[in-house]
Amino acid sequence: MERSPIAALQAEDGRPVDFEEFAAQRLPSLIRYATMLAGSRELAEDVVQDALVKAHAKWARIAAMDRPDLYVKQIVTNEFLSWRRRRRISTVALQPDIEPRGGDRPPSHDQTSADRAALWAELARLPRQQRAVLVLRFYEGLTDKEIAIVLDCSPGTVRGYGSRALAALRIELADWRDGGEEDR
Amino acid sequence: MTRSRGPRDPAELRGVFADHEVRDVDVTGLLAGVRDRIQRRRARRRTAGILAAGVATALVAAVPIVVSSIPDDDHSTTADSGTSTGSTEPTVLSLPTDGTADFDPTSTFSVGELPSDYVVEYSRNEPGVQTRIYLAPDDEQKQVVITYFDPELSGLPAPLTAPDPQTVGELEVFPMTLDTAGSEQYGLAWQPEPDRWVTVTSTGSDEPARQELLDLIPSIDVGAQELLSFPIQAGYIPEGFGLLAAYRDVQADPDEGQLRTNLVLVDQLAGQPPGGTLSIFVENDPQEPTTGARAPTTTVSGNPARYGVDPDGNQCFTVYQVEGMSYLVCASSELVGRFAEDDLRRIAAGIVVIPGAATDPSVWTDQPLP
Repeated sequence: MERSPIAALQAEDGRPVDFEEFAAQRLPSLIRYATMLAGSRELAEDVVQDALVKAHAKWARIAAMDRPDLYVKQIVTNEFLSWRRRRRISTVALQPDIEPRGGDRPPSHDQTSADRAALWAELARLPRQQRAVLVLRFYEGLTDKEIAIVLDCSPGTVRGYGSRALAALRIELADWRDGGEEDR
Repeated sequence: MTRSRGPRDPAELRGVFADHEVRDVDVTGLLAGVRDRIQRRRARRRTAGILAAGVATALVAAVPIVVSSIPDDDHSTTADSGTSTGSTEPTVLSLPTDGTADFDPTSTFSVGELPSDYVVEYSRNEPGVQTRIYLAPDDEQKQVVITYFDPELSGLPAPLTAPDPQTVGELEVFPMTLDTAGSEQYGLAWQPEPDRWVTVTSTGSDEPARQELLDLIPSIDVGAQELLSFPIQAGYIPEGFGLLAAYRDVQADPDEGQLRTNLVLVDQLAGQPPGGTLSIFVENDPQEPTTGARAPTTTVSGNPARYGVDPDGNQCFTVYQVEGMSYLVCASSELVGRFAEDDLRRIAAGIVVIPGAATDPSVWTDQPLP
């Protein structure tokens, strides 16, 4: 089988990673990521657990990769993208079920809160690939190249998804690259 | 949504993500869940069972499967015997002849030679809907999904289609409007008859996927139903129970297990809706059931087994490590009081896995019920 393009990226430390160790370390970030994708914590937990089961089955191969973290993120993303397709053909939009956290953030003005709630709802209505690009860029801080690896498409396609998503949300960004780090 | 304010700043997007960030992740609990799924591979069984229970409708009474008795001299492995004997000629399955035969859980639409080298990953029949998923070799992310369904019987929404159909043979085929529009997924839909739909979807960019699906359409014949085969037979089913839904899965990756099948039965004498399902699930399971929720509580012919009632009230009897398989029999909570442990034990002990079925689907049987 052809080697994953992820293997072309630089290794962080190069040592083999134990699955349990990896899962314990990465679970919080994977759950946070999947929750942003799915708009639902319950679904996110299910998606991540299913993804880790798949990762476990192939762990010998994944651990040998330079960036197992990105590959597992790719599995999580694919689980999310294929979630309903595997269960039934559906055109129902995502229904976000998590409330804004507030928490340690300073109180917002009512209008700002309403705007953010509207933006969250609009995010939920985006096509899943587009939403994934926004989450990977603006939440995860990945570069176009890294996003392309996670979504298994070209950086140009990433920019296409991203620009369409930003247009749908009426977010002004002169240069898509301004939204994250420069490509490495 | 119409908004009165002007363009947004990217910082607002980051702010929204920060607003909804999850902080309290239960790593221990989630890891336990992952371990449990790895060991038991029960996620698909749950999905199948829940889906089947959720769509149990009046259709059930119209699915009068009549199957003659299971061969009693069969060359198979059972939890009861754990040994092999000789086999007999399969008996004839009587199918209903009215319109509901289209959705009989033991038959499915015909698909001829596929234009590319796809293999069937799984077939699933539920009331009013038949689904097959084909997997592209060497590309585990690429699938072709074919679904034949009646929206009213299945509860599935009719597909959203774009205008400008294309003619394929005598069919008028419409591009589907998927909720993943703009992503690399493509779908086509047509109506073989009023109130019935066939959809085919594929991952991949639009034009190759469109052409691939157009090439595939002539090989799909929903009018030609063929018997679905299964890797197992049930030796004992409680009186009155018949098949509502069926699911079987072949995984090319040996790490994932090579077969997985689920028969969902309902009491056909119980009226409408029948309420409650009896589920028989078999899968490859190399794991030893030593601890936690898998810990054996009894044995069946020397094989470790477990009976329990889960927090939702479902009664389950599991037999582990029968020639590398796990057998699971579950009565859903709606059937409380109908079955005792010994009843489920008897069903589990009668399950038969066709010899060689884990590696060779050609030996599967179209006679899954006694």
